[in-house]
Amino acid sequence: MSGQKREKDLNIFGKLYIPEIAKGMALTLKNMFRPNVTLQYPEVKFEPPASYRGRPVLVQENNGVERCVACGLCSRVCPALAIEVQASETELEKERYPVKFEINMLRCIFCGFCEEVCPEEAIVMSKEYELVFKNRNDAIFGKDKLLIPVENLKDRLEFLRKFK
Amino acid sequence: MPTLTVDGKQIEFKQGQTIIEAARFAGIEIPHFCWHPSLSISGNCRVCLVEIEKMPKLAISCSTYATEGMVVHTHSQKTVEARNAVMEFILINHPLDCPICDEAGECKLQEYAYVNGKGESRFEEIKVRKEKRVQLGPHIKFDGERCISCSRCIRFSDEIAKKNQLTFVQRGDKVTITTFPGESFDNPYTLNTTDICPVGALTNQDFRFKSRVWEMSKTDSICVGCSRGCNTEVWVRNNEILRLTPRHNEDVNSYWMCDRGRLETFKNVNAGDRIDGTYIRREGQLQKVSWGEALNVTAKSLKDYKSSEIAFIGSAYATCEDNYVLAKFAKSLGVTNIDFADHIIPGDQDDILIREDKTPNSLGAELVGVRPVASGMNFSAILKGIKEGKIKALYVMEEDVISLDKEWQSAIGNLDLLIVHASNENKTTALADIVFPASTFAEKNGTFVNFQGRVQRIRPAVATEEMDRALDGMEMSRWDKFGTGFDRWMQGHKFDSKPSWKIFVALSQLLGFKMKFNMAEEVFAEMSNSNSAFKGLDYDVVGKHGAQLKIKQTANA
Repeated sequence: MSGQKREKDLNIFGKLYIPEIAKGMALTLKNMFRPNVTLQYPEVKFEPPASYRGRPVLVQENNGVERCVACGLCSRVCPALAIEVQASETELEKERYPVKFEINMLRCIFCGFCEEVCPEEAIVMSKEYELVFKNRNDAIFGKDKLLIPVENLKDRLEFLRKFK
Repeated sequence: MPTLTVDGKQIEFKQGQTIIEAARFAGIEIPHFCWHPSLSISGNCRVCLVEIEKMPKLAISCSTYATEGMVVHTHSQKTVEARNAVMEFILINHPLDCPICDEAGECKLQEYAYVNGKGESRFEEIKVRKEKRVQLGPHIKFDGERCISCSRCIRFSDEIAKKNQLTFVQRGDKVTITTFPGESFDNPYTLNTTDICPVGALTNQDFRFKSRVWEMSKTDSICVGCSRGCNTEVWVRNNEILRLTPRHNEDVNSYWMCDRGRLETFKNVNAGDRIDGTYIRREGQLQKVSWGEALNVTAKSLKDYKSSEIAFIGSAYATCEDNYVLAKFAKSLGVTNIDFADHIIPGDQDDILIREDKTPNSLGAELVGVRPVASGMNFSAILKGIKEGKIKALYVMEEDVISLDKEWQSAIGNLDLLIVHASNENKTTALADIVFPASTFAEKNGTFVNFQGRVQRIRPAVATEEMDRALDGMEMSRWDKFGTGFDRWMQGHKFDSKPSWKIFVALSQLLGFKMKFNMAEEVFAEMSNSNSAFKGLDYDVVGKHGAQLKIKQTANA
């Protein structure tokens, strides 16, 4: 037990900590001249990559009509029961549209199942991550907040086509 | 009994049964589209092909009769391959539009495609286009592309509804269904075709796109449209009834129900004119008051009249329990003037389902004693009594007496006190002094006796303030199970109503003859103890399919 030399048994140099302090200072000095990665949020916003799962949104085509046909699969697959859809009939060829589409952002867990199950690529995960509410009712997003023009979602739709 | 072997299991069959029937009876389900137990055999879908030993080729089990010693394989390699091929063939021209199809979730084609389909198609050409959204009669939308030409709807209208209104036109892959020239698909039973349609080709216009089937809870109930008492299922989402469908009961309605019963008997449950809470007339206006106040005022004012000055009107729309407690309540007050109104539309009857008695429980109301006792007044005598001023207080349970005829309208002014139980606002509640909110058939437990003398149960499907979905053991959908009060899809309105019998029980406490019923089941238990017609019955015995009462059949039954 006594004869064995252990790593923590330091010699005189080691006991003075001088080499270690020097090493540490060198690392600090090195990093001082590296490019800055810290973002000054909220002054500077983080721009997530296409694979990022922000809040789910509905795709709005250029003619102003939503892609959604209110099939209710997102609502069925949602493990947190965040989505409520009410369908109705439309004269358009798609026959069905959501007269009400609500996502309770307090329930949403950003798993992306709704996007995965959607047969129309109508609900996708956006890059939006700033979700602040003052009360429960504000956290229920209706069609007014969910519909996003298709141009603003190009990144994600491309990503889905490539990797889904 | 002769036996045959299906999948290595020896099963008995009756002479004349087909393989599919014998197997179904033994609990082995052979896939089928065109075959239906109540319709003739067509044999066009070919999905029920099975391998039968010693037969050279596969045979369709729906039209091959079972014979002694037959050995059938429904899961052999040959059968499965044939079934997959048939599925692939049927799916060639079937659109891939399950997301917008109402049938999704209860679609036979969808189910079998999961079980027997290959998951891919070799068909690369363009699918045949046919007419979509065709209005086929007043209640039905037809989608030609989804149709797999099983002919169930055609056979139904020929054989069950007895109206030849539908037919195939064109040939090959262009074949489609239409009405005969100049005809509309408008018989009283059309909506049954939406139930038996194995795909979403025929859809219910009234229910179209209202909800996905998996989002609703379904509760066994009874149709209140006429004295047939068709067995039904009540489909509810967010505490709102969205549709009724028939439930199989060979003794009453088989697999069917009429369109009127299906469409018109549930709309009042969530209507805007529901009576929500108790009302008392003050300064000429009906004012909402608490239950306690309404009950106290009622009890106090009933004491002001002699028993000969009071009359009770029961209802053939209410359950046996409601009527029994009403009769018991009247008896405790010493009132002998008790009766209920008939709602018979002479001639509006057929030998399929529809009955001319438009109430679900006239036999039940009579059996439990809502008929004048000894020298008491009957319905028309009560009216006469009101006119002559002999009857001063009228207690009406779930009956719109003023709408019955003009004489009531003029007579009602002679009354000093009019107490009404009603579920919805009507002409009688508009003139009432005290109004109690009655629960509808979809909000309470109870029993109806149909024209055959068959007692059948209704169960609560819609929650009220006094009936909690979870605590009172009502059917729950996935949404009901996991929802909280903060979820909008849980915030469907709950009406402040009670079953009529509960209101009488509460009143009896105040009038000093305590009736001790807490559940409808207890009322029924007392009925079965005191009434020979209900002897030996309880809710478990009545069960899902009802029980025949031991009574003499009425002449017109």
